Order: sequence, then structure tokens, then C-alpha cells
Amino acid sequence: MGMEASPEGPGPGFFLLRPDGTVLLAGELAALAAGTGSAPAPARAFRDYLGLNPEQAALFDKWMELVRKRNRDLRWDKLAALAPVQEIRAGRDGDAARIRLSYRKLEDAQGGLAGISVLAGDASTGQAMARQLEEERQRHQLELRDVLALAANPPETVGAFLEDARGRLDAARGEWDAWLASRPGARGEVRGLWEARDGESPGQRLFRELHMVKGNAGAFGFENLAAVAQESEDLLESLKREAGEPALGRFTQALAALGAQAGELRRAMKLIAGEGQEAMARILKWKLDRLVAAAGALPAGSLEPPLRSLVESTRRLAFLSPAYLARKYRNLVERIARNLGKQVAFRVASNTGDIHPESFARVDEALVHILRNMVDHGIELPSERAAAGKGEAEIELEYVAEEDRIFLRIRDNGRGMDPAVIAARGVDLGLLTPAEAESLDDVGKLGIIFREGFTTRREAGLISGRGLGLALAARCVADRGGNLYVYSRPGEGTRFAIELPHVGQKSLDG
Amino acid sequence: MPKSVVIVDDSKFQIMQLGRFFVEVMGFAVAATGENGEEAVELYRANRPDLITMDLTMPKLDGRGALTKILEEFPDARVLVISAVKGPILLDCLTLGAKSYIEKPLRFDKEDFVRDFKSTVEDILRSP
Repeated sequence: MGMEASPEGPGPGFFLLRPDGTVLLAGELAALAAGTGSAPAPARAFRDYLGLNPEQAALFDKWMELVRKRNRDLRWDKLAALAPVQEIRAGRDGDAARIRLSYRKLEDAQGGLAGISVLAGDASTGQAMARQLEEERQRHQLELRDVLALAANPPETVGAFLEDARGRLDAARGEWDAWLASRPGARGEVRGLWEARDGESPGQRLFRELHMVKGNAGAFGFENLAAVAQESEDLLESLKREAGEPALGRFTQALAALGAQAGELRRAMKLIAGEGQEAMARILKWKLDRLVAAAGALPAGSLEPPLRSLVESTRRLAFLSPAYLARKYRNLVERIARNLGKQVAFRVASNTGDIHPESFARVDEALVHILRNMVDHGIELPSERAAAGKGEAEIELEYVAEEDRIFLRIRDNGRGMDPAVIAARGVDLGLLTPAEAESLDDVGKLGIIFREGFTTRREAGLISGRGLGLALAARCVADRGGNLYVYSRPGEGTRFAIELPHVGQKSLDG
Repeated sequence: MPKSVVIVDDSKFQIMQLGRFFVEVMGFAVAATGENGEEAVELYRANRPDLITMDLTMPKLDGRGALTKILEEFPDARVLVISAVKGPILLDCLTLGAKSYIEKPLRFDKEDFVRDFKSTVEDILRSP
């Protein structure tokens, strides 16, 4: 059966061009960030994504190579200007729109090339887009704080506050509408607003409600809502000096915005309600989706900062939930096992109900590398296990909290490692001298697997085998002030242990 | 000692413009000027300047050919391509080892252009 030619080329929007020339779409990026998806397999090549002809593809490859080689010493605007594809056509022939591609470099922590974000936008409306981007960016910053505030306060308290705010805003709205309907004098006059009835003027009553909403919102950390309430207060205040329909209209709008903002928080609240902190990832994904949806209308430039901050927050918040962690590592193990035709039962255990997920976040990179290596190298194929009379393959991730430190233990019941074989391989690879290998005990010999360049493979596999993973794991743990241990018995399995200093707040309650 | 530059361009007027920029704005000394690729190679060899600017469309040997020869002989040579030709050939030149490029027309009357030119040259001098 032939593949249908379906150029899935981009419309307006945003995608990530990775250093290897493959493309990750905004939605996939969002799902990856939220831990709910994976990169497409097989990888989607840029040349296919944009439907480049062979000549264009060759030029593009050449450009990518130059970018990889020169991105540190050649200014990005010069490199980007040479990108072979600057414009694409989207849509059907009749109403094809010209879409400009803007390339922007994303750097990793070391200043190397992490990827290139490509924004596809209509070239004709740049100005309006720039404004829109700035607004979106500011709104996004505030929204992010809202989400953090939602996470930081107990749901009941937040719920009570939001109900209170809704009541007050309804009251304010009613007060304002009533005054507008019954106001004395000509249109645009504000006299009656400040004339006391029942001891208070309508203006004062409005002010009181707004002020309460603002104060409470600020106390809970809902800065967005507090800011809109402040703006409404200011507008109301200005009605003491300034009359006229436009001024009145602005205040009406501000009240509506305030109501909308509170409604937004209630909706966000519903997303979390009853599902604990794990739902944080969903909320952030929801926000990321919104940002991505808006991205199509945004120009190149500062799309990355909000995106990056969102991705970071997603990570941070996602790590707050032990349930999320278990699922994340289970997904990882199962996905790798599936790709390799292996079967593994993954378990998470703990000696305490009081897990500090922060520990996982700190050594996430190490855990990923170790789990990857275990599935790839440690766990045998089902047929091998059957031949050796072994049962179900297992990997267990155990969290052990002690007085002053935390252990993350990862163990499998796979083929294990023979220290003598490891040492011999290390010597073969030139990682140590025979004399050095001789001098090591078994634990020392096994430790060779953490050296950069150590691999048992002749060729790098898709999952691991470049001899970098465990070295990276060791570095990650060392960077966090921890220790990484490995024990193994040939035929029986391997155990890794990450030892971390405790970072809890245990001394606070004495 | 001021930095030295060899300017290669088939237009005498542009050589004059570039020379003035390098002397007055960058504080360079112009070691020599040439009008084709063959001269470029000879002048580089004779002067070993800190920088050589290279037009691409030139008689006898074109800029791409000249910078290929120069870089073969002097891998550390700092070559700045200055050309109105865009696209694949620029990609070629940078891949071959040109340090950077400036697009013609030379708009020394524009502040932005001068600023960009200046920072490009400074970047190149910083590179090893």
C-alpha cells in the first residue's frame, strides 16, 4: 500500500527545528513539556515538512551544517539571513498566502545550539503583531503567577475567596448599572455618583467592593486580578475629577474585565479541583496551548522567553506530585522497552508517605539515563530470560528517606555486570591502563561504567550506547552534591543508588 | 600598531569608500588594495594583513576562488566577504572559512549599516 502524498506543511504558527534537522511541532513541544507526549517516531525531517525539492534540501543541509559549526562565532542575524527557506506558501493555489519564516536560535545552558525556533507568520502585519506579542507576554507573566497562586493556596481557601470576589463584583456591577440607569443630570455627568444616600454614596460603595477584591487578590497572590482591580479603582477615582461618557465607558469596561478575570480564575480552579497537584501539569499545558495558539499571530522575537518560562514552570510544578513522577518514569521505561521488544514491570516504592519530589527533580536527568541504560543493557529479551529460567523482568525505583539524606535506589533483575568484563572493556577502550584496572576492587571496576566513553556496544543504538549516558548521570548527581553507586551480580541484576543530602524543611517545626 | 586591512573590490569607488571607513571609523591602516582575485591572493601573501575584504564578482579569479586559495595557504586568514550577491554562494564562502559577510550596497550614510559593519569587523578580530 502506497503512502499518500500529504504535504503537512506549516500554516502560520511556531515549530522547533532541532540541530539534527528534524522538526517538532508546537503541540508536540507542549505535550513534551507537560510530560504527556513524545516526539514523533520516525522523526519528521524539515525537508519533508516543508516539502523542499532536492536542490533546496541540499542547500538547507548545507546551511544546517554551517549553523551547527559556526553558531558560536558568527552572528545569528547573519546566519539566519542565509537560511535557504525564508518564505513559504500556505493554502490552496487560489488563495495561497505568503508566510515568512523567522529563525531564532535557542541556546542550551553552555551556549551551544539547542535548536532553532521557527515562527511562520504573515509578513504583512508585523506592526500589529509586535504589539500583540508584548501584550500577550505581559498577560502571560501575570497568568503564570495566577497559576502559581492557585497551586500555593489550599483549594477550599481559594474557592472561598473566588466566591467572595464573585459576590462583590456582582454587587459592584449592580451598583454601577443602577446608578447609570438612574443618574441625575445630563449624560456624562458624574454628580450623583458621589452624593451620599443611606450614609454612603454609590461611588463609595463601589470603591469599597473593589478595594476588598484587590486586597484579597493580592493576599492570595492573584496579581493579575489585583492589577485589574487596581485599574478599576483608579478609573473610579478619576471619575471624581473627570466627567464625560468616555470616562464612564472606560470604567464600565474595567468592571467587565474584572468580572472576566475572576471568571477565568474560577475556570482554572475547576481544572485543579479534586485532583491534587498533578493537575498542575494539565493547567500549564492548557496555558501553553493558548500561547501556542496565539503564536501564529505573533512575530519572531520574544516568543521564547514566555515559552521557556512556561516550560520551566511546568517542569517544576509537574514534579510536585509523586503520582506524576511514578507515571513519568513508568512511561519512559515502558516506551523504551516496547521499542526494544522487551517487557518490564516497573514499580515505585518508598519507605515513607512523605516523599520530597524535589529530590527527583534534582536528579531527573540521572534517573532518565539510568533507567534507559537498565532497559537497554540490563534487561534481557524475553527469550533470553526464558532460556535462563528467569521470570518477569522488573525495575524498581525506591525512595528511601533517612535522617539527613535521601536515597533513590533503582534496581533490576536483569543480566547484571561482571566487574572483570567491565574492566577489560574499559582497558580496550583506552579509558584506563591494565595496571590501573588491576588495582581496582570489584566496586571500582563497576565504577568504570560512569566514565565518559564507556560503552559495551560497538555502535551507538537509538536508546543508548554512545557511552555518555551514565557519565552524564554521574555528573548530574555530583552537581547536586550527591553520590552515585552501582552494585551488580552477574546473572542476577544491577542496583544503582543515588545518595542526596536532605533538602527538606525538617528543622522548621523544631 | 593599527590593524591592517587589504581591500579587494573591482570598483575603485567602493575601494575608496571602504578604505575611508576602515581608516576613519575603525582606525585601521590600509595595507593594499586590489581589483581582482589574483591580486587578492598576491596581496594577502605579501602583506599578511589582520583582515582582507573580498568582493565576490570580480574579473580573472572571483572572490570565492580567491578566498579558497588564501585559506588553503593561510588557514588563519580573516576573510570578510563584501558582496551584493546573496544566497548559496555566501553559504559556500562561509563554509569554506570566510569569517562573516557584509551585504552591499554600502550605505555608509546610514547609522545602522555603519554600526553593523563595525560590530562585524570587531567580532572577526576577536575570533582566533
